[in-house]
Amino acid sequence: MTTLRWEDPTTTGSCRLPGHAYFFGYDSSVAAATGHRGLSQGFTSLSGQCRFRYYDHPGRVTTADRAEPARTAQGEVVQGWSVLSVPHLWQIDGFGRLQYTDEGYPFPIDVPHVPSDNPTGVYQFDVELDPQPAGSRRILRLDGVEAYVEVHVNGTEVGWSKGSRLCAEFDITDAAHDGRNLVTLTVLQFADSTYIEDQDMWWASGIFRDLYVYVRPATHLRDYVVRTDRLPDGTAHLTVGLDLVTEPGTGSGSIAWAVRTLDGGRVLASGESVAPGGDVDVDALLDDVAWWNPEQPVLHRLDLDVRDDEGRTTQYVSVRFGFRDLTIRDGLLLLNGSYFAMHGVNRHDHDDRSGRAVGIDRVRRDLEMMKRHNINAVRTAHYPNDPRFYGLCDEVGLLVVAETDLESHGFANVGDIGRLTDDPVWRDAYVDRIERHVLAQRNHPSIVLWSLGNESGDGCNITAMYQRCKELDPTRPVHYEEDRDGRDVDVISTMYSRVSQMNDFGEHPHHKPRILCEYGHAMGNGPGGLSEYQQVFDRWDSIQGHFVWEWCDHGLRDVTADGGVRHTYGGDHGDYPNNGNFCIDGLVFPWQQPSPGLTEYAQVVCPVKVEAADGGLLIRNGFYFSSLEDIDLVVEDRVDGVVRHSLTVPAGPVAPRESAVVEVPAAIDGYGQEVLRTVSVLRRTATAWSEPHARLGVFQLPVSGDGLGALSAPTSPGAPASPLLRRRPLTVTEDAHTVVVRAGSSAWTFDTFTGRLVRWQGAGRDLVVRAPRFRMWKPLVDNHQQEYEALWHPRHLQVMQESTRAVQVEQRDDRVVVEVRSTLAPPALDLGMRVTYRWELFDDGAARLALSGEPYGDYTDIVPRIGLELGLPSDCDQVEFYGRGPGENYPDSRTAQVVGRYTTTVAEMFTPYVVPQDCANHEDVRWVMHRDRHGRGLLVGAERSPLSWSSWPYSGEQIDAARHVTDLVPDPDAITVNLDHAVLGLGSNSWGSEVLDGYRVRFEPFSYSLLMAPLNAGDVDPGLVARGLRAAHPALGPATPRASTTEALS
Amino acid sequence: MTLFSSREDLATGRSGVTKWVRLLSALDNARAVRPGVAHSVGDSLTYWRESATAHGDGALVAHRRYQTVLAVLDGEVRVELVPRTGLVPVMPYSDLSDRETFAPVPGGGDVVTVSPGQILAVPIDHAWRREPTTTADLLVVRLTVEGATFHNK
Repeated sequence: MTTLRWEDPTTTGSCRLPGHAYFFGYDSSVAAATGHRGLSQGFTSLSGQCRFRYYDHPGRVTTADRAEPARTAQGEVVQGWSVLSVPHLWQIDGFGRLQYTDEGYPFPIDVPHVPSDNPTGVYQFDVELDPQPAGSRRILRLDGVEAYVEVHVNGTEVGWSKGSRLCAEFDITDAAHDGRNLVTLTVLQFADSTYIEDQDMWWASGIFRDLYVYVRPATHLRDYVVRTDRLPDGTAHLTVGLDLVTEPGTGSGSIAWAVRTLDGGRVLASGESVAPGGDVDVDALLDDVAWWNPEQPVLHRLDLDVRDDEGRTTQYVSVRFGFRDLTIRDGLLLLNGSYFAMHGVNRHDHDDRSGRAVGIDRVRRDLEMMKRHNINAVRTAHYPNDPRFYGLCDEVGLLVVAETDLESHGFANVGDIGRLTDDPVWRDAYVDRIERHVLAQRNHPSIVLWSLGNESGDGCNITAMYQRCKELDPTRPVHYEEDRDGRDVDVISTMYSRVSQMNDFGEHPHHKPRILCEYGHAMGNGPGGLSEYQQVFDRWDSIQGHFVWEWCDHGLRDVTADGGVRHTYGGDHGDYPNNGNFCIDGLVFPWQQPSPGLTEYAQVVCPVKVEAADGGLLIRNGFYFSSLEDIDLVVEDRVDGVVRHSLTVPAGPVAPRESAVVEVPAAIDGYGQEVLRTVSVLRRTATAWSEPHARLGVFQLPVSGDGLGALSAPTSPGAPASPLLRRRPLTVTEDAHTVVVRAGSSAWTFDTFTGRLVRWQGAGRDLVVRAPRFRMWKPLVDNHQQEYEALWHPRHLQVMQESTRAVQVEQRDDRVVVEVRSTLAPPALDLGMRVTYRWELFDDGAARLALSGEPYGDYTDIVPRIGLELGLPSDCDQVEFYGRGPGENYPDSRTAQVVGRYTTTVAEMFTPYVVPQDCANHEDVRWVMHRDRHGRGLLVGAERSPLSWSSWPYSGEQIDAARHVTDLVPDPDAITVNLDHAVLGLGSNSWGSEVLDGYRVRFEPFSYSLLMAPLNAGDVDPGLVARGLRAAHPALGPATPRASTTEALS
Repeated sequence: MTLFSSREDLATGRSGVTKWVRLLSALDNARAVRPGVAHSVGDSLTYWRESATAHGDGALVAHRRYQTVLAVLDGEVRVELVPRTGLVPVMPYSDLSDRETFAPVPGGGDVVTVSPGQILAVPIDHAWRREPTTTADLLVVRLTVEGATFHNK
């Protein structure tokens, strides 16, 4: 039986040229200095339109497909072929089928075999090649083709390659000619290499990165290696190895070199290397250089004039590099001699319109967005990126954990994840992947760690990769997560270790530096608990990096028949098996907008921290290389949520990792109202990725008040006196089914059988269209799926039933009390919550609802919430609130939001998660008013404890049932309003951390209350009324405590 | 409180439960790790070796998310166990460390002596402390309380 090339792991390619750094030669120094590869020698791009034919089996590809242009004399494509544009993934262009799995292979495991029906694409390119000087060579470069590619030029095979996300080059000189050439690429979706390219992403294939031809003169630079070491006195030791190649018969050459500032204006060193080809062809000591770091990513130029044996320049090369030194000392990784830590993310290539075929403009936007969100590191999960990616990281200042293209996760499904990793037969295939990766990227200052791959178990091939990696680059540490005890690697790593586990690692440190290469699984709404993680990271120097999983949702844009836009995931393309929406797990939506999770992360990793201090503000500088001289602090004093005073002060010259007190005046007097001081941290000057005065973070410091707004009636000069609502005598009318209470501007109607408030008229309109009901369920968030499966669904908590046990109406002097006792319980089981609704209806038209509950049965674990749901008229969609905002926030994800007064609409509040789920929550709400466009509506005030509040234009059932946003149609009957005593933290247990203990809401006794009143906001300020209500109707006792926040590390 | 007489006893008693199987692999690796350095097995547990004499500020310690399992490698250790309910807090619970401490109770709690090869699983609803006079080379394991749905690797 013939061994197929694509089913033989002992070979990784044929006639593929050795790897080397990514650079180009130019005909002039001016062109070289631009770095524009389109101007380089003989550069001819093949990206763009081509002819494509899809087959369901590689055996169906004909010789003619590879040798004869599939076009007519008139230029039309022949039948069976299509015209499309590359880079692309052919499944997204309608050929074959998309499939998403996290780790499972889409075919039976039968190493090294893959499906015989192996989807195959043939690409034809008509390529015009200009004449070139004698002795020069034409090189075809492929930056990314998945998974197996054969290259033909004018019908002659010039080579083949595996390694989807590793570049491949072929010398096509002998097969090509001046003028029009036919270049054909035959691409197979699956190969033996697929077994080690099993990353958590769409199964898709094709030419997904650029391809082009360039020319090497007879005398040319083949490769170069830059090394920069920082000597103890701060001097930079620069060495460069130059691999000069001369074609046979052209003699030896030389290279004149110069190190310049990036603008070319200053020459730091220069010289000439005759017959270069060693490890050290440039050797220079330079003092007073600007070192590269992520905060000041200073780059330099190395200009090289490559000359033949007669001294003629054959090419000009100008490459960027940075002076950057990495060492490990006393168990700590040091950059330029200084401690640092990586606050990072894991990034896949993804564009919602083209999948992994990501344009470099979107890549740049990704990186700039990271910088704007205080992220200083990125892990290339789980493969090398476009070669230009690393240059962009050099430029904007991002530390890179540069991972190669390796993952055999699918073997975990058969209990043997390391099967190939510990199989010597696969040794060369593994080593090839780190070798090509390191050779291509090793000159980038941004790369601080090599990573051997991801989730492939452990074994002898990891050791072999490590050794080859160190041979090629002894300057950088190596990372591989599954070598958890550090047998080989230089930096220890785990993934998804919990907060307290990271603290364990900190308290008992390894002698090698440690990172957490994945955590904070950002699936759907979340992650929660990042703040607690960060407190642990910041406490222990031995933890030098953490990378949230992951940067961007992998949803693919889809327009429905009726024009709606949704994003697809596993199962949406008829794919089976699939992992559903497990790929919708990013901090960034597919359409490249930040999710609330990214906003939270930016705050958590904000490099400047602000705390209250005697006489001012304590400022902690979390930068590693920068003082705070470019930082301004905008201090705002908010009185009952409204900014009443503001000033700007410079943070001053606080050194890296130091702190200082900045003097600021005491906060203003609130005259009995709540005062909160908010401090925004701004970068004064512009950067390449941000405007001047960009906000790095915000901190809020309580000054006075009880967390609910002021208790006392307003006393500031000129403030209106209480009461603010007109009092009218109470009347009670009963019939067979209802009791109607009238007072002030209100008329309440209760059903005497159910005890429910079926109608509330006030402020000249209907206020409530669905009765307030006690609820413990909310639409499931992805991060609670495991709790749902283990705890809630078995107990049917999503379909609890309420039964009224007693209704009592009692009239007193200034109020009518309606007390309703009911039970909320799941079917089939003997557990539930005995609930008491106690309505107090006042003669000023206001009402208090006190809600309490006592559980029965054997369930004591967590529930999604303890709260109240009601329906308001759909036109009451204008919202004003005093609470934590403006963005949505949850108990364990709220540091980025501050307490203030905000206006919004119910529609704007709804976060369009790809899979609809609970959203729009706001913590620490003092009051909220929903009103129509005339200002009439319902004011709800927290009474004994602040509220968790959210409003949706849909019902909870609608949201739970929806799988895409296009499934949602606004509820025509009501806005759903949730007024909760406690909401369960988000956690990140879609894959990782369960909700921390401090954010757990349990099935326990509870008690809380709120005050409500009809209002015309056009006549009076709702904040004033909210305070007046509390003063007029004092509460009787405290509410039960809400979930506690985290205490200090002990 | 569960006191396993040996590794084999634990293997039999907790057979097939992932986190306990992982605990066994930590036990098997115990003598290969440096004292004082924390390691992990999956997300189920962290573990490290330490000397019993290195511990003991007198307070009772309790956890909520990771129960403590102690395996004696050499020597002998006596462990005091007290139900957490009703104890007087010294340091409040912290999500960062999964730890809270309590004042010792008058008269002390139940004392368990753990000998070489034995493995003590401290119940999650108990606080515990080691008697400072005992000397032992211990493997300290912090084992998740999560159960069957814990699907992480």
